[in-house]
Amino acid sequence: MIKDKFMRQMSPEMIEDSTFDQEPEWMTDFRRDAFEKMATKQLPQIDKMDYHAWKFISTNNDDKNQEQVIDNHIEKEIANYSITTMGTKTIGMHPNDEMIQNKVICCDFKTAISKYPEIVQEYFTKNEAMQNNRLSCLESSMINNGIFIYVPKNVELKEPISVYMIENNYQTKSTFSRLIVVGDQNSKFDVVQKLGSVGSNKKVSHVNIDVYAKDDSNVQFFALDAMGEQNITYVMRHSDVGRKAKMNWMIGSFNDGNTISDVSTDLNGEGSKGNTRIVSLANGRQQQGINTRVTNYGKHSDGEISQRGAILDRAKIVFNGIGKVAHGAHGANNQQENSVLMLSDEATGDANPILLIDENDVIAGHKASIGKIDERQLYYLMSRGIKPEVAKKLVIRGFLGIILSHIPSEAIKDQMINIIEGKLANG
Amino acid sequence: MTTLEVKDLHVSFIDEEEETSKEILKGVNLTIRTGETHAIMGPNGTGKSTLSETIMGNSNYTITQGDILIDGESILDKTVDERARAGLFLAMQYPAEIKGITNAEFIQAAVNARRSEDNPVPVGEFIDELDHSLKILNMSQEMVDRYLNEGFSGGEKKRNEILQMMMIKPKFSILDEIDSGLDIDALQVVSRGVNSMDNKELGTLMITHYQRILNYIKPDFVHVMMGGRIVKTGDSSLAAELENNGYASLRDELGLDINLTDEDV
Repeated sequence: MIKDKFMRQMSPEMIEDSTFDQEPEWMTDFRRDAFEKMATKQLPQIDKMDYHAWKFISTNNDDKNQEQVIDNHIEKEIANYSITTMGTKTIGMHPNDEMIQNKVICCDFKTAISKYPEIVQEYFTKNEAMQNNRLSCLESSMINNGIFIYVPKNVELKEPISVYMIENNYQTKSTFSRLIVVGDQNSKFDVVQKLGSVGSNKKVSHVNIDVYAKDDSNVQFFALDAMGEQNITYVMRHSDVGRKAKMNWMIGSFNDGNTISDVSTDLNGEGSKGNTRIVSLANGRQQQGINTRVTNYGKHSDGEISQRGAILDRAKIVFNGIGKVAHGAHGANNQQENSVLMLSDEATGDANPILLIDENDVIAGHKASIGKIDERQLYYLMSRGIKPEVAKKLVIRGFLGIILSHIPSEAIKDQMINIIEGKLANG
Repeated sequence: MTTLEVKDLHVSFIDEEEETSKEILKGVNLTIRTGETHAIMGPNGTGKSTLSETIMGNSNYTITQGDILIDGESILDKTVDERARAGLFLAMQYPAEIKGITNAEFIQAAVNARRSEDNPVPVGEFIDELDHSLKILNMSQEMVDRYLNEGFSGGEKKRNEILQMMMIKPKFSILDEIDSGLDIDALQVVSRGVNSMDNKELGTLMITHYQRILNYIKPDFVHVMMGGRIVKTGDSSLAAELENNGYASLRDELGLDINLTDEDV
């Protein structure tokens, strides 16, 4: 078989390097199966963003590996998260009393495999999408870091469950992280998830997040992607939404390095609802390709996508909003709005709404805009004495602010604002 | 005392796409001192808003002749924000809406823009003053936590402009049709806000079509603007006269050759 450039980066021995201690056979089989399928599958298509020539995996290089440091700043930060991983290691576990009282499972895969083997297996292998394209096959076969969260039936949590996944760039080998979140029937909770990286080695990082919002549940998922410039990041997020369940994604895509992000919501249940909001800011020579997909399978299901991006310097952001209504999804609603703000003459951006409708009695709509900063808004702010550079920042922050007001964690909200202001200050 | 002077101001609106230029102001002269309240009245399309936007520095308007000065110093080379910090305030007819920035955050940024970076307004002091102003304007706390003008009704936007004025404390406040779209009750509330300002420290320029607001905010001078010029200046009795006789009659009295937009009505 002739190997293409992607496949030349891969070898089956890599699977052995990734397996967990005492990994059950079904998991290793799942990896091998995915690896075999990988050669025959294509990379997920991100319209107007060609990333075939990017790197997809980094291998171990002992000459470059450095001693790893967890500085005070991170030490302090991880104390606020329910669970923190660094590279392939779990470095913090701080479930709160509410989680413990309600028997919420929040642990790494190693622990989950030994303590709750059946449910891990069920959800690990459940998502067919995990083997249906080249990227997910790669992630399925190489997974070496995992977190499993399960919220039992009828449990309602006031405090968010928080997850911090730090890529370890002191080491050279790619981390393939997988986060599985299961909200059982009639549960209600928030998840706050942050991606970051420490260390200076360049590497490729993969994160794959799978959320199951079962019947009548309500899951709000807030993500702050803040990987360093030294990382090429592939983030796949997928949710499966049950009958009358609600599942919202609110994602700040603020990585400094090149990023491919794919967020999909399957509104499987009748009357299910899914709202995806993504804001993104790209600077330098960074490229971000973002696919957001909402598919209505259930009758009277209701899906919405809002994507906003601001592009500085010579950076590029592409938003593809893919709204699909499957045959049989009577009375479904599928709406989307995508817009990008170009803040430099050399910036490139695109906002593409793609509607695929296979049913008649549905409501679907889309809006897209590519524009410059609103001069009227700038004038108004300046007329109150606010300096142009501050006014500009406020307008951009306002433009990206569609998710800020919803974030349940002040710490994450402040970090998001700081990242936005930091990027704008350098721009 | 501070003086704002408009001298022989000629302003054109240049449409870059159409490559046309239209002269709107044709030699306006006006002097306002702090402590004074002026009203400019005039029919539609006569350049009242152009005057206020030009003083503020809106780049859509081009000055072809004349000058605008504060205490004898020209402000024409100053940017919009510099003019604001020099003491100018324009309560706009159509303020912009900005989602994602709360009203409170915006007002705080505006107040701090007038202070040095290492000396921002103490939060407690800011909140007390904000509460005080909100009460005068019958506004709820919720209004300042909302996004800037986003989803505000016409009346709420006007109140919000006055709220900003009260917090910023400008030397010169230009109120561009602050009375339009307000019912009598709202008009009284907005006027109460304007009147709550320290008179000696503030020069007010009200732009209006109607005499009604002048019952609540008493002008020292009333100017009538027609065809891009101030054609007559008087005291508050001039406003009453106009209300009774209309602009066309004044035009004829002065023997001016100007077409009024709604003359045929």
